[in-house]
Amino acid sequence: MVTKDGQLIEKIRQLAPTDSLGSRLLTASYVTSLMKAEGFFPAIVGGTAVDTYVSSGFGTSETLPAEWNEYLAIDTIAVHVSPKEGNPRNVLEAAGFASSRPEGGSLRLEGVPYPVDLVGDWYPDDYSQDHITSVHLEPAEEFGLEPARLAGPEDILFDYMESGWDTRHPRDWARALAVAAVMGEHLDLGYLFSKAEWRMEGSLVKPLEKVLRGEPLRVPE
Amino acid sequence: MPSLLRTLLKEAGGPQAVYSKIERKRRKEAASVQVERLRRKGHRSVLLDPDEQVSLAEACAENAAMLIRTGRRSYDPSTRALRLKPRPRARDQTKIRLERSGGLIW
Repeated sequence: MVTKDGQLIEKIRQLAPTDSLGSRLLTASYVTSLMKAEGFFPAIVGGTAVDTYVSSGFGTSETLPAEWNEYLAIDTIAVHVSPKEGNPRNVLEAAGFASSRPEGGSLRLEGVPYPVDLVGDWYPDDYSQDHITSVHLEPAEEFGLEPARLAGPEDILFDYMESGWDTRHPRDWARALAVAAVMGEHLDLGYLFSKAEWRMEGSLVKPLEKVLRGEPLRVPE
Repeated sequence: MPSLLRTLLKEAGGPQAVYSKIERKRRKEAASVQVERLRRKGHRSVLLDPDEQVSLAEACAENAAMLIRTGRRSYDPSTRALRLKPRPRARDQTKIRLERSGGLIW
């Protein structure tokens, strides 16, 4: 297993300069495999989930628009974990991941260019476990890894829509637009609108409609 | 005084409605402060104009459609499984050799 892990890390490292998403998804599959073996079920959220839904291509950078990479801080894999007991951090530390800060923070594995952030120890109430998506990567399968699990495109779209709306952040809004544009017909609209009705007393229904219509966010001068 | 407050609160739609209004106002104020701070720093996220937002999303959709057409991306909604294949290795560049007047042009 050590040799195989070594080969995997080398593959992750090789991919990174030309294919950040492929490298991150391979890391995510590795993390998923480590955790699943110990009874944890991680899901990827944040920028890596967005990139996967809007691109989903790897092996080249052509699968994201040229302007896309330029603005993104996507070097972190955020993982939500739903443990019955124990600490998912210990699982990663046992596999060689380490944090530079004694009090916690991002975990890094030597040779792997992307840090892993454990951003929660339970799947949040406003995320749906029924909408989780599994990502099957050929290189991950070659290494016998588990598919990476992503929070559903609906929840990811909602996060960025809400963030864009609340903070008037056009970049986040554009990410929500992109998830809607790419995943379009596959989105569970019933779930999205019931979530919008429930969150913030329905004040997010209007922005959700805007995103689904493909309308931009206009930041007042 | 407490009864006056209770009356005013009731007229305003109850504590939850008042809290919601305050919260919305607070968020809006916080957002404008944040936007102003980012503008001062020339942050590109704030400078992304509406057309750019839309064209970025459209470009993503076009890219994804290309991947689906070429069999590199597929999504099964019943299992919520996204399958990704790497880009095929670039074929060796085909060189066309033309010989003209004894010289080699390619």
